Amino acid sequence: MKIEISEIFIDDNKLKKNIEIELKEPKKVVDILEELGVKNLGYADFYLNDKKVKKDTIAKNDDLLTVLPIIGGG
Amino acid sequence: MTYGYSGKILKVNLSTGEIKSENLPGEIMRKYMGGKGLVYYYLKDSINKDTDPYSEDNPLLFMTGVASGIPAAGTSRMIIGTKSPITGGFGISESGGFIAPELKKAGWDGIVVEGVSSKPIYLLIRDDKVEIKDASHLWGKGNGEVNDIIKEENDDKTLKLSQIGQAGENKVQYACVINDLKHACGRNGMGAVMGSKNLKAVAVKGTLGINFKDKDKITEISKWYAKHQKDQPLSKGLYMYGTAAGLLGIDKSGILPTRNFKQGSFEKAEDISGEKLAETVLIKREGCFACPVRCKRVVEIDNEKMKVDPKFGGPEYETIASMGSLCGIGDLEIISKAHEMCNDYGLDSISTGVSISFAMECYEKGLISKNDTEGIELNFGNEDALLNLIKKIAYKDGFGSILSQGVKKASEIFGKDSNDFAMHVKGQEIPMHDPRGKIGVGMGYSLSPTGADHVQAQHDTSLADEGPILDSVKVLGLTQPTDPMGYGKEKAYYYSTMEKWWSFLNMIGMCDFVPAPRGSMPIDKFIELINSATGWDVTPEECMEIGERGITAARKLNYELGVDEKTEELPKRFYQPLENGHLKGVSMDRDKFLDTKQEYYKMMGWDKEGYPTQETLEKLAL
Repeated sequence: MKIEISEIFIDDNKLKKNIEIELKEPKKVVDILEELGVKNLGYADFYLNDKKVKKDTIAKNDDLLTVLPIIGGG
Repeated sequence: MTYGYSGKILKVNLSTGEIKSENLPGEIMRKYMGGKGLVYYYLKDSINKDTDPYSEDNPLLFMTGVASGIPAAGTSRMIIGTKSPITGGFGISESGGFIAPELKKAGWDGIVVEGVSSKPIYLLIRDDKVEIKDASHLWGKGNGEVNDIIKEENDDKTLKLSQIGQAGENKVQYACVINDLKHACGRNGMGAVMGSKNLKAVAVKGTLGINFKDKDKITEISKWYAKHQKDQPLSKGLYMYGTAAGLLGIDKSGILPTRNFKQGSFEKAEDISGEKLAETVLIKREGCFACPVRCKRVVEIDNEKMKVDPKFGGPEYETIASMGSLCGIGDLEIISKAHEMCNDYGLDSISTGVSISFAMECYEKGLISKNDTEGIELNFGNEDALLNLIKKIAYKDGFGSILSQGVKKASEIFGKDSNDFAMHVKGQEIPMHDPRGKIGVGMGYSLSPTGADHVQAQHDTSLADEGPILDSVKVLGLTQPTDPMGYGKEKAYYYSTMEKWWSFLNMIGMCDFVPAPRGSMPIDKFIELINSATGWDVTPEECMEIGERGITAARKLNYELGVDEKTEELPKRFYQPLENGHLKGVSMDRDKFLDTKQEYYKMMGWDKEGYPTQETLEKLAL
């Protein structure tokens, strides 16, 4: 699956903005990202194929997952 | 000795030329703490229902707060207040920058400007030396040029300036006050009132400093914050991409105001995002006084087609969306130019963009034609029309004079069903957040004493789940997540809690982007900062009571001015479905929304008509 992560969640040089991984079986969005080492997910919103989803939504290998900052306002 | 404030207010009467210092009693400062609290204190006995906002009876107030000028992040806010020419009620507008700390360093907690000058003037404040200076040679000039001249003729490049441009001189209803060319007290028509007083600028130099109770503790907290603030992604995002860091998420969530709020998603959102701005026109990131967040953008364009001067900073999210997606425009160079023009003429970019967008929809619907627009083809996406109309609005020129009155009055002129999509509350144009995806923001638009406003309370989208943001505000009493699209008691409780907190921040002169929940400074540490500055023993409970007092005081005054709950109606469009995006087909439920407001009234101790009960007024010493 393809994953796009806003650079504000990237502290680690090992992480890149655009990632492609092989998902052997459907998995929760939050689990996928934690396994990749993405931190501070409490400040993120998640989008699967451009649709806003909850962090425990199940993602499949052909999905596009986007991680953007939560909408704070102000 | 006072700590964190001087206890002195500068009073200037422009009709008589009298300049005097007035004491601000300590008990009043503890009760109101500054900001809109002091605006209420100085307005309540000065104006009434019949006061013309442009008359000498309407004072113009420049207020700081007890946080303003503490050498720590977010302590930069200037709050300007008056009877608003837009709403006819309690008016305030705030901005960051440098002038509020400078005013406090000059020994003043605020300025009360009374009367009307018979000729253009500006105020020059150098500590306790205050002069009324002739500004005849500055009248008719833009903010950029006037800023240079005032600094040059006073031989001081370090002066901090609050100014009006041509829009304020011409009393464009939504003219703003610009601080140091980059920071706008944009809303509620402060610039128009300043223009009506023939007051072109207030220039300040402060060298006296501010007394603080525990400077070492302030330094310790300030250093801690500077080290840790970017650990929190939202704070880091503000640095990297400015306030437009959230634009792509807002678009994907289906609540990016597009084409006069008909749509919630813009096909060119990526082209106007904070990320794209950083890749293209951005030359520098800047911060306000003592602030390491550095959310301010500086852009420069210098090519054959376009020149944009970096001295005006750069567009923030509100300007990017109001001049961009709302008008169907997806070009950051055009948006940057529109931003520069608004800051130079002194126009509120939100109201300007909404007014032009409204006219674009009227044009496309055939309610107005080229005969009305002086030949301008006013379709969504017409970049030349946008820039052309900004100038016409500032000078009240031709068709621009209609739009200079805002969408409420323009819809009365255009007629037919245009009122249904004239996007305002109390006459103030709607900011760039669609309440169909966050009902709490709709509460803010409806309930704000100043008309539609997006900074009344932390937006509910960020408190939808358990997590660090919700954890950060449990100390204030909000312990459960709130469904952004939910209604009822739970929504009313979330809103009233967050509203009290942000009201408190306004009153002390603090930026919402530093303390939790929007910012990364924990609330207990933040309160420790305030107590270190003042020597007080403020608790979270007292903060919430102060915030509640500010909300209730403004409401009380508004009702006395005739601005009551009948003025709280949201535009009809929000009760109609969005045309595209993630929330396509979604609308607000009016009955549920009105019921939620009744729940809120009850929680605030107000009656069914939204007026504070006697018991509530006594509890808050109002």
